[in-house]
Amino acid sequence: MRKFRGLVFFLLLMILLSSVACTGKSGLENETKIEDIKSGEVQPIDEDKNFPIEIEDIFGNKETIEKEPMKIVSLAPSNTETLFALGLGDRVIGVSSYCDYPEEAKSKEIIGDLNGNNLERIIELNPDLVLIYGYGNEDENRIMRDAGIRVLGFRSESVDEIIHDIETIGRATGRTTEAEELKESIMAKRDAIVQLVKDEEEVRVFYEIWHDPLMGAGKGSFMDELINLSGAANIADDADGAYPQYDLEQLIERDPEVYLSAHDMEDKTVEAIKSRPGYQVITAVKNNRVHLFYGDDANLVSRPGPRIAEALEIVARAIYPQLFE
Amino acid sequence: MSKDGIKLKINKKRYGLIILVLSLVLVLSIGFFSVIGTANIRPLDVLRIVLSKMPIINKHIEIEDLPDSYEAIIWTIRLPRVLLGVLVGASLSMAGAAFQGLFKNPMADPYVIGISSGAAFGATIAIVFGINISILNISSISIFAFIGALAAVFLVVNMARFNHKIPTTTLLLSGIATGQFLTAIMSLFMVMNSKDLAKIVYWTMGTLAGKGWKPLVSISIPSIISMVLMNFFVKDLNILLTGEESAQSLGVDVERVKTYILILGTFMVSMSVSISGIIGFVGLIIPHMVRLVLGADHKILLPASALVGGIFMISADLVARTVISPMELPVGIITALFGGPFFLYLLRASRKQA
Repeated sequence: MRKFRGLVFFLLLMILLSSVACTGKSGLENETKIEDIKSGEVQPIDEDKNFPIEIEDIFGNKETIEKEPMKIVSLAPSNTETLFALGLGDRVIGVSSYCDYPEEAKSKEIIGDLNGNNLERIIELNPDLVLIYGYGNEDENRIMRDAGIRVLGFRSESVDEIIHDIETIGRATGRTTEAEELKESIMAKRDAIVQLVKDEEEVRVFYEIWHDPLMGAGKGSFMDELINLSGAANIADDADGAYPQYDLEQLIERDPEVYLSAHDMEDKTVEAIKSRPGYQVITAVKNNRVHLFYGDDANLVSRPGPRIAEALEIVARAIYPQLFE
Repeated sequence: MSKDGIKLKINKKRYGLIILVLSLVLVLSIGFFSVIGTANIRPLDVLRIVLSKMPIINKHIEIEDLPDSYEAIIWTIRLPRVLLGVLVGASLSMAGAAFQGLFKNPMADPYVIGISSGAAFGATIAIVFGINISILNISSISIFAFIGALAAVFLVVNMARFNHKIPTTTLLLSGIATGQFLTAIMSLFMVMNSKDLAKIVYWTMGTLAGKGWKPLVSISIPSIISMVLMNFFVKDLNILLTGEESAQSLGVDVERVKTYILILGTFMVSMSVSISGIIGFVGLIIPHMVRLVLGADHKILLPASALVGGIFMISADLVARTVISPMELPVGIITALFGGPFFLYLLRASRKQA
């Protein structure tokens, strides 16, 4: 009896598996067929000198973009900002729930959030190009690429990397001139601020990422570069990793002169920070130099996008307010 | 075998000595670990700072020559951190020892019976709904964690209660089921309120850092009282080990004793959890270690577990806060990293002996 049951179970399992395998296969075939028809229909009318172009992202993925992308999905706020800054806002057809700048981005369809991306919807929309944050998820990328969608990943933690990303996105979308202009304006603004702060005394700064447990912005983080460009010294820059859990004893011993953080929670206020145990002896607290970034400023300083120079400005302003009066 | 039916590894006359030695080790560890830290302060200065805070002696201690930051580091950061570690480690371990004896189940630790998920659930409610009331300087998150833990344990116990009895298997099962259920609701909250996600996630990670004196003072008296009260039940726990029927026949009101121990254990654990967040492994492993070495008599097991738990916790925290300075490691990683292999070694050694 037991043997028989095992056999039945095994058979059912086999049937189940084979049916799943079949549907999967046929689904894929359908997809490719639609793709064939579509690519056959839309013939480029006149030859564009920018396309086809082969783009390689920082992760070594090579994508050949045949024609100017008209439908673009952006799954990271920094990429969305870049697309809008390049004048491609109209072509963005889907964004992530974090894409809140510029205002128009909020009216786009949300197809990705914390819990992942709505792959089915992305494939249904059939965009020409999908920009993701970082390397993304290998399985998701493969599914999108199998469906004929070009996928490029971006993850920048410095001004140079951001400029490189903007150039890459510019080439991939045929907006090289705009990308060049954007690059020039970012660099001009950055240089202006670097010039402004260059004679200032180096101030010790700590940027708090999280408070319980205390986490700071360490070496290699976006914030670390903003602090350095502002002419200040990041006291946490010898910690391994970009966002280390930070020792409170070290914070007090290294004694930051300016304490920065983003207002990411209702009850995180300057007063609350000042009254934390042990903080009373920190110079930044004594001299009333605890600065919180509110609202869009908080996004600005945590988002490696085309507004980096503005982020640099608000950080420099928080550290050397006298220079910006 | 003694007359209680418990295998004794140590002569009962030596209990006092063992407790004394462990207490001494604990006191020495507190002193020693307060001196060690990443800040560059001489041990002598640490001693001066601590003594300057003591009544009477402080008249003779001058620390004017030391910078304010030294005092802040030692007095407001390091010392309360070490003491909180002792309290958290002791509470978790003693509750673990009591629960393991109560349920006669080696897997019973404070978290299995729903305290952890209940506390985390309560904290999540407080975070998501932005509730902001505080009693006796304990934050609303802590209060809700405590309420959540108590509610979860009572739910678990009442679901498990069957004909005025709480069979061990149903208790563990309902503990796990309730835990899963609450975790599911918590995940739902997290998905729907993604802006609070970081706060919830970090709260469940557990740390002893940056709490200061206030929370320590507010939980120390209730924690210590509940630990002392727990020791009144050592005889009952010993008798329970021989089986519930025989315990009943020996005149122990089994169900009432079970309820008391459960409330006391929950209370001491949620006091700790509400301050430190969830630090795993200590409540499970320390009582086992102590049992392997000292035997299963609760008279020695409960106090020794508390002392060893305190020592272990502050040792683990010392490693967590110094090993890759200025970075810190989550203390839960250290407790598991060092406790696990040591526990396995003890397990093997005791098997060879037997």
